[in-house]
Amino acid sequence: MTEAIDQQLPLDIPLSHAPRERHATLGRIGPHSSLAMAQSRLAILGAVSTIAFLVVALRLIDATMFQANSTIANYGEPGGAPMVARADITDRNGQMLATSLPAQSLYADPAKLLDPVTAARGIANALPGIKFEEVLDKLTSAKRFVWIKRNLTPDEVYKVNALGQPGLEFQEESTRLYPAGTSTVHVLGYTDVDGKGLSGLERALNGPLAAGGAPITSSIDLRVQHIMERELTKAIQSFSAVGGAGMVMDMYTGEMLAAVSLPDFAPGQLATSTDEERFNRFSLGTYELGSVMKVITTAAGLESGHMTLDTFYDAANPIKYGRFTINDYHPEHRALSVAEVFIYSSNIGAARMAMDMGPAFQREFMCKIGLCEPVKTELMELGTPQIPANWSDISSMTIAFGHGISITPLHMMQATAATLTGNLVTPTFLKRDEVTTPQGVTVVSPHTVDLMHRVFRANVVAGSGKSADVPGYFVGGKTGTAEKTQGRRYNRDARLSSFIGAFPMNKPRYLVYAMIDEPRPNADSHGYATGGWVAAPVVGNVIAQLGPLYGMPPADPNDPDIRKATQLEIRSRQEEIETY
Amino acid sequence: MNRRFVLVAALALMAGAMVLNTSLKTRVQEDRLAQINREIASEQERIRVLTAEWHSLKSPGRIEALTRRYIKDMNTIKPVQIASLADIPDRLPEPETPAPTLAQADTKTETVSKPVQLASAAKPATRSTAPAPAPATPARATARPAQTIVASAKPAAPKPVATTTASATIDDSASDQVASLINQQSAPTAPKDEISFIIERDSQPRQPDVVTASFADDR
Repeated sequence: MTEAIDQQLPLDIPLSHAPRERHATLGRIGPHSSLAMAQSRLAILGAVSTIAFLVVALRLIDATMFQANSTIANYGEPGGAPMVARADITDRNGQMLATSLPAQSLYADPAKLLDPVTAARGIANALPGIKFEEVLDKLTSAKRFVWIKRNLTPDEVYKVNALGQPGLEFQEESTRLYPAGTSTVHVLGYTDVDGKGLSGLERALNGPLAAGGAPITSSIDLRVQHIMERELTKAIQSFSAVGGAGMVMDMYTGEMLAAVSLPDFAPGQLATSTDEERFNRFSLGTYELGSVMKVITTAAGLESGHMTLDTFYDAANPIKYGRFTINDYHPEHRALSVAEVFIYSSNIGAARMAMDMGPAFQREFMCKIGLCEPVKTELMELGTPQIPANWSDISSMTIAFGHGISITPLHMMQATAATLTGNLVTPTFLKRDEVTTPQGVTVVSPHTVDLMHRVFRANVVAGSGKSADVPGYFVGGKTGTAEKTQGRRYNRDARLSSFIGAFPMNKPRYLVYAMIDEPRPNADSHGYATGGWVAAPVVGNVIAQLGPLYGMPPADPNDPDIRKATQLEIRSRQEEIETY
Repeated sequence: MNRRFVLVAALALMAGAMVLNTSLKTRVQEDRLAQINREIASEQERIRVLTAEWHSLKSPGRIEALTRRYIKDMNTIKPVQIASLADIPDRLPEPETPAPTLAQADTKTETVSKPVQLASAAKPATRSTAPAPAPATPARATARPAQTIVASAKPAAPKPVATTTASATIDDSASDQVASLINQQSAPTAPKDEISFIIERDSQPRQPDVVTASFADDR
């Protein structure tokens, strides 16, 4: 048997030889040789099948032992790689602000359609906002793939399926949803249908959000955001204003607890929103903010070493400088101390303070507290301040009371926080903790910070900001009423009324800002639409709700320690001393 | 050799049958696994949808609108409504008041002892959850659901100078309602109208929404 195999085994003998050989040997050798041939064939068969089984065995070992994980993991997830959902955004307490949900998008393959007209009519009936002619155009095009509508509701999907038309297909996609509604739209921004961030945090953090994974925690407190939105909306309605902006900031960490720009829009209604609604007034819009800038002027003056709160400046008569005249809204017609200039909001006094400290020092100080460049924060909608190229005497004087320089309200927050804490901390829209809170740059001396606390408080106790006061919370602040420019003139009837306030002034932590754009006097305001009438109550109302919300116990208004830390003795020229 | 061949063939057949069986079983298990994975994915999607809906339902704007609509007398908390425990004056009950309630108050009760102006009419509370036990004696005739304590205690003070001690053992949510009924702002002190509340947060599990109120009437 083995010999026979040896003879026949060389497999490289061409097969075509075999029949001829067999034919030649058959008659000569007889039954014995045919047995040998059968045996040899059996051996070949055995060898072939052994090799085949070996291959199967090896493949089995490979499939079960070496590729086991890679195959099992994909079961139940057809269609290749699983879709990565865009990461959620939450507020600082975990309340969801933005999330991604699966959605169906309708597309068509015109080549597969049997009856485009019927299909188009059916689609136009089933989907609101889709016009028959438009769909028909798409369905009769030469392309093999046309989008009909993105992100259908389950009901719409059902209706389209019920049409029973071939060639209409659904693509599983992800849609962005904002459960908190409209109020955060200028902070969060929005995405396009492909889930790419177009504004706000969605745009600024597009990379990390698109990568999916853990939610991103914003610094916004939705409750505070809601309070601010409500109070601002009330004021805008009550004074028939065109819009407004409001913010709440933790001055120590730079976290923005609320940032509202009105009018706003629902993120889902991006297509129908107006430019006005999409405009971000708190970080992109630059404005001549008016008297709130006296906060900066006062801090700069005290830092310059040229003045104390008791230094007097002549505010008896308007300043005439070239073609400009600087006048006061409520003229006192006498010399005013620095504290009085702040409390009575004297433009004349502020202009004289600016000249005393010098334009160069004023400019240096303002740049030091961040007013010469865009604010450094996450958002990409950032306004660049418009500052005079040539910081002349007259621009220095007008800047002292907030005209001739345009900054964003966010700049005002950052700068005011610096004068009240001494530290310049970049504002953020993301939650910070002890590790991520930046050290900040010390820009104002502790002595000036202490005096600023007192004039802030005195303005609310005795000055223009009375209606921002909340008993027990020691609110301090500064009003501002700016006339808006129209062409090259200021318009007395188009104002920007604002108030910037902080509390509690013995150790201020929260900074609250409200700005109302073009308020008109209403029945209750006796013809006024100034910061003290329009914006100060907004700040007061926000603080009255924010304090209890954060569990801050109201202090005794007569607490001697707090009074000592916030009171201010104001000397008039007549040597009357008034204490606030 | 024949026998060996048969043996090997039988073994091969058996092995083949076992492999076939195993592979069929595997197929079934794989199908099940795929099915379960699909279910998990779909459940996770539903959880995402429900989470989004929940967050939309509890957004402050919606809660506020609902509050305005259904809780008529609830206003925004004013700073004056916040008080620390130290601000609450210690008001010891009259000597003849039973001691046990006091002892309880020391251990695990929250004592809101505050002069309260009584509501003028004995109108029922806005949201009474359950009726109190039926009045047993004429002296207890004024026992009402716990929420009506403020409203109904006045007729229970027959003597000119009387201190009514209402000891209401209620669950947490109800105690908040009671607390909200205490109008802290208006408190002209009329001695005969004084009520001392002892709100006891019971650690024992209780029947939900059942509120019992008992008046330890003056004697």
